[in-house]
Amino acid sequence: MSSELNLAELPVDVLLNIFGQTDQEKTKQKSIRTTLRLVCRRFNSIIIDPSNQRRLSAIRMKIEMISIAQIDSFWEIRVFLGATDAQTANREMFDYPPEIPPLKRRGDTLMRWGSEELTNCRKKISCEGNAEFFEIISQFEPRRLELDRIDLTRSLIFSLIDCLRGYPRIQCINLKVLDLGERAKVLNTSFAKDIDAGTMAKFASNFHSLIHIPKEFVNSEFMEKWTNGSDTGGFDFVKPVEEYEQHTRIPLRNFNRFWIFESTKLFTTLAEYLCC
Amino acid sequence: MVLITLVSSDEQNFPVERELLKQSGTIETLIVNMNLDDEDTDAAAMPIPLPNVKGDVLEKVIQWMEHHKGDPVKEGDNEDNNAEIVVPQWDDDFFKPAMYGSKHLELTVAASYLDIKNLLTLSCKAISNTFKGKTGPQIREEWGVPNEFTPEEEEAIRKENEWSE
Repeated sequence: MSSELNLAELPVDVLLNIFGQTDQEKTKQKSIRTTLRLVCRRFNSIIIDPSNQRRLSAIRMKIEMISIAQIDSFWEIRVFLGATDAQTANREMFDYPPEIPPLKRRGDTLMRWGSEELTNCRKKISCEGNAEFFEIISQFEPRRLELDRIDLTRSLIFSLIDCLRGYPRIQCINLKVLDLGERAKVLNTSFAKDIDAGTMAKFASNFHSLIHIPKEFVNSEFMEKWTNGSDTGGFDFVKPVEEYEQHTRIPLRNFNRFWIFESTKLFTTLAEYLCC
Repeated sequence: MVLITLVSSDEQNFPVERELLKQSGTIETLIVNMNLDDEDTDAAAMPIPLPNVKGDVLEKVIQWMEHHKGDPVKEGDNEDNNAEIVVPQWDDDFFKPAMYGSKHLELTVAASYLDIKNLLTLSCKAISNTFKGKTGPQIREEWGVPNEFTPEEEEAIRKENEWSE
């Protein structure tokens, strides 16, 4: 061991332990991740190494929501640093065309909630730059993730699963199948034909709540895989939606155990059969 | 009282109470695997060489273990444990004199090598506490880390993230 050991020369495991215990200062929005990356080349390379992401969860910026939209050949990533439920609910009442100009930072000023104040920050990157896309979303720990106007392919879903692996569970995924802003029942996010219920369940098992998930995926295989994931329990609800139909919300609080859910389904089926 | 002798890299001998060594996963495994616990064998008298730990650092480690004798030993990696860790006053005072120097870093590396989880956690937490409210260059300066970035590289990292800050 050198007599003059330097902080930058500590073993990777020790540095990851140190980084993992760094407080994300709640009063500052500046990312501790960026701060640490700026210390030296070694810190920078350890922090951006995808294989270290699980242990770097603590230095991800805690935010309210990430919204990812595909607009032409670009990913548009919007980061909502903080929003109350009421604000986010109201947000769905506004239309927000893709050509909204980039927003400037507004400091601590509380802005009126409207179509131009939807998000604190946004970034557009080329869809070809997938590595950059995943590097960006791995900086954050959102409470919610929203996929908007995306052509979901099987490979994109598996890349997202890879990217989410090791995250503490994100509370909610919103697949934004319906554009509620325009009050039109138009499919926004589309799903490639090779995506099946099993793939969707694997993806869904990263989240407690699922909003606007196409009804076709929500079958017993899906429910079983989703509710029997590594982090069992604590599921909130699934809101499946069928094109041109009203969406329905299924609260899962009464279905803590899958066998109860299955039994309920069986009785419902029997009742339907007897009525016929 | 059973004593086991630890030998540092600079060949200093440290007779240590057997009970204290239960805090070190590395030494505990060695003791069990080599039957050093069995007083009826020659192995019991065998010193344990620690070629990666210098005498002055090992002395500090033993001092820390003596203070924490009887504390529950952490098991597993606890990577998912998000509970906030607070460095107790005694430990803070213990780490402080060597903070920002190579001695504290060597103690941290020794805690990792000897697998003393509580010492490693608290020591790392004490280091990470020094980052609070600081910029990258400030951390670099305080810890004497050489600046390897060109201004362009530094600017590129800042730019990469400023859209979200």
